[in-house]
This record gives sequence, C-alpha cells and structure tokens, in this order.
Amino acid sequence: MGIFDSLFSGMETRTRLSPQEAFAGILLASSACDGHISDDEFNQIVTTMLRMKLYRRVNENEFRKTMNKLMGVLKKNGPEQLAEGCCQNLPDDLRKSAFANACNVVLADGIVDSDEKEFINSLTRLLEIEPAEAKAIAQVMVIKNKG
Amino acid sequence: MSLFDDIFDESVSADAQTFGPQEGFAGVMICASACDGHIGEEEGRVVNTILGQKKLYSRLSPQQMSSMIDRVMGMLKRKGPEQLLEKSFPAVPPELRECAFANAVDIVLADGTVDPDEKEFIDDLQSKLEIEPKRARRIVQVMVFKNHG
Repeated sequence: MGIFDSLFSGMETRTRLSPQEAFAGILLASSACDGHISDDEFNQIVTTMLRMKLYRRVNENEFRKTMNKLMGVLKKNGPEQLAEGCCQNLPDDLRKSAFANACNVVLADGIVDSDEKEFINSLTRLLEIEPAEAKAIAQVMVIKNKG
Repeated sequence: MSLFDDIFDESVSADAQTFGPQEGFAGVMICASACDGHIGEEEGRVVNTILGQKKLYSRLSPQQMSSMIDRVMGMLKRKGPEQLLEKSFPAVPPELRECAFANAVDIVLADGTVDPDEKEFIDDLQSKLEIEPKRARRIVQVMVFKNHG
C-alpha cells in the first residue's frame, strides 16, 4: 500500500480499449506468448491487420500509437494479462476471427511449444469459443501452416 | 514463324518446362490472388508472407526466390490464370494439397468479399486438388471466420 494510493485512485482504472486495439492486442499477445516477437511474426500481424475492414480508417500514426500502447502493456504485464484485457473489450462478432488469427500467428513457424499450447487453451476460454469449434479452427490452421 | 524457331525449340521455351513443387505451390497462390482479374498490392503482400513462411522455400536464397516468382508470374502474364493453374496444381506435393487449398482460400477471402469468379475458382481448386468435400467445407468455413471483420 503506497501513501499516495488514495490520490491515484480512479486514475489507474483500466482504460477501455477500442475494438481495433483489442484485436491487435490479442494478435500481439499470441506472437509474444513464446517469449519474444520475431520480425517475421510482427510483419505477419501487421499484414493481417492491414487486410481488415476494422483498420481501414486507422491512419499510420494512429496505428503506430495503438501498437506502442499495446507493446507497453505487453512489457509491463506479460502476454496473458494483455490477452485477458483485450478479450474483455473485443466485440462479440470478432471473437472467432481473433481466435483463428491467433492460432495462425502461433502456428506460423510450424511448431507449437507448451507455452503456446497453454496460451491457445486460455484464449479459447477467454473468448468463450466452444471447444469443438475451437478444435476445428485450430485443426484448419495446422493444415494451413504445414509445409 | 521466326527465323530462330529451330534454335529456340521446345526444350528451351519457358512454357515447356514443367514446374517443381516450389513453383507449383507458388503458382496456386498466385492464381488465387489473380482470379478476380488482377493482383492487388495487399494480395501480393499476403502471397509473399505465406511463401516466406513455408519450409518448402527455406533453402532458396532471396535471388532464387525472386527468380522462381518471376517464372511463375511470367507464365501468368503470358497464359493467364487458368493455364497457370493447370500447370501448377499437379506439381503441388500430395501432402501439401490441403495446405495449398487452405492458403488459396485465405487469399481469395482476404478482401472480405467473394465474387463469382472467386467462388468458381475455389470450387475448381477443390476438385483439382482432390480435397474431400467435407474437409474442404470445413477449411472454407474457418477461413471465413479468419477473414471476418
């Protein structure tokens, strides 16, 4: 308990994330869940996001700001907490898309380590995706990232 | 008829050479992005990202990679996507057929819309790559999720 806690109360409440930030945060967390984000992974996330209608109205500057903000949270709190906060703020209609893309990011290097498995598991829970559906999605992403 | 026809016979003509697995896979991806008439900048980037991640290409130097892409793109320009596909799909190794199908669907759906040409392309690819209809449906379904939003 710090002596200034009472003064800061209210200032540190979690800021609400926009759908764009929430989606980007989930992808960022999935690429960071094995410990670090490689250039390839980062490029892949950016490619994924640039394709989406969701980011069509986001200009380069805003995009950079969003990524900076999320990188800050990632460094401070780690991928699990970043994902948790983002999942809470993600619009319902983007849940499956976020999950499918997160699987794609995790599987991009062709291997899955135990941290990544755990991360996908918890993402299934956080995004409230039915296990059977999550399995089907993961399976197709495995096919996609073969070879 | 050109003066040099007998020198530049079939064996050195680019169109006569068969594709290997690397050209085959890339050819299918490029057809997928070209099937709506042109390859958009974003689509080109997506194709590059996909190919860059595949172990199939990991031993190619950047130069080899770009000359391989050139060969495939040249064929596309000369003969069009249908003929490129005809030449490419038999060269995709059997274990990568589903993978090629999934990635092609991903490319087609990347802009969030599907036009009739693209639908036809996916149907055609499914039968050419001999993907079981049920599995093909599941793959398409998941790619629709992935490209939503």
